[in-house]
Amino acid sequence: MTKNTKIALAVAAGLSIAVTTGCASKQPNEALDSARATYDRVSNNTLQGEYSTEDLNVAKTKMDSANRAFKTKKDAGEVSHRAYIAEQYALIAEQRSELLRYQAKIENGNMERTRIQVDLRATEARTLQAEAENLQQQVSEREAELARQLKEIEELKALQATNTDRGMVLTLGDVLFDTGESTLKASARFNIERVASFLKKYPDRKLTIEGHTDNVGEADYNYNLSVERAFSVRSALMAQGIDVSRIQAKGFGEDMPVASNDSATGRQQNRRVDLIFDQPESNFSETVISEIDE
Amino acid sequence: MDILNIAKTTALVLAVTQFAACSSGPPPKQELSLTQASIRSAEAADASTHAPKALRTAQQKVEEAEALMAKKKHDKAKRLLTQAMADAELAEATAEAEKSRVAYEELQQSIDLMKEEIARVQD
Repeated sequence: MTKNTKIALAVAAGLSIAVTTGCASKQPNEALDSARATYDRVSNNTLQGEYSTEDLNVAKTKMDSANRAFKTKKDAGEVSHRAYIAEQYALIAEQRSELLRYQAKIENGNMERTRIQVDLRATEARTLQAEAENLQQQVSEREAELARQLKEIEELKALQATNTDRGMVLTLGDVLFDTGESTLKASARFNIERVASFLKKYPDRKLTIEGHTDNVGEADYNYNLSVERAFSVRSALMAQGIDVSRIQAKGFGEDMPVASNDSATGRQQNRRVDLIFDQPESNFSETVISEIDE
Repeated sequence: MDILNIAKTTALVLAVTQFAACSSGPPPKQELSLTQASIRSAEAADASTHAPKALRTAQQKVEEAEALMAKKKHDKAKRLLTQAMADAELAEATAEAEKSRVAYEELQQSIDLMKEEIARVQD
């Protein structure tokens, strides 16, 4: 064998070994191990709801191809390449499955939102309806109260009571009593019955009875007479069935004249018994009074 | 034919066949344009926000593949393009999944708000 022959053989063998080593491997492949782990994880996750069958099939094909390359001892670069591709497609299948799961959740969520919107509107409608009914109720109650008070005042007016700062006042003149007497005349009976009837109809009303005289005679005598006449009216009302607790009686003698005592007419006006109907407690009274005044 | 010629021929044949196995076919022009289309599609799906790493990897591999094609290393370029294609598809799939996750969470928040509103109204 010549020197040249030896060199040529060495070169050929060297090239062959170098190239063969470059293209084949039996060593474990890190990229392949990683791809297998990822593929296993993704294919096992199919139990967690929706998944993309099509993308998983693609990933499986790529995985098989990488495994085959390793088994048939393709070169390490080719195995790693196919393993990389397999791992990427496994990840793609994972993301597409994730997308499908969220799309399903969004669909459910949209249905739930629609249902809640319907509920919410129904609840709001019910609340508004209840508020409207409540307001209507208040208006009705107020109207009924106003009507009741108007009627009451009309009835007092029918008794010839007049509206004053102190409330509705009914003045019984001296014609109900004989001069110097405190006993009610029979002719007073009609007036007393009407007042009693009113008090029975409106049990919240209270009554103050005030006796007054003119200035003829002794002041003490006049005072006593005024008290007795007030008490006489009270007794008559009690006899008609009005509870004593609702009636207050007092006398003022000649101290509170409503007219001059210089004339006979004035003195007659001063001889009187005033029946003062106290206002019952109500939020609406003032409104009613002012409406009536107008 | 003496032994020298046999050795020369053997060396030549071995070298040629084995280089041919690792050497270049035609330029992977179709793969290049398909991969570029996939990258554009991923970008349109907001992958630069939701999957920036995978998108960047795909872009870099395409650049490398173009450089390799310029040097006529077509097989290596084709392999890189195959990978870049997978990277771009992963970027797009990740972006789509992420966007649907965000949409779902926003929907869930609006549902929670409405539930609070109902509880408030019913009180």
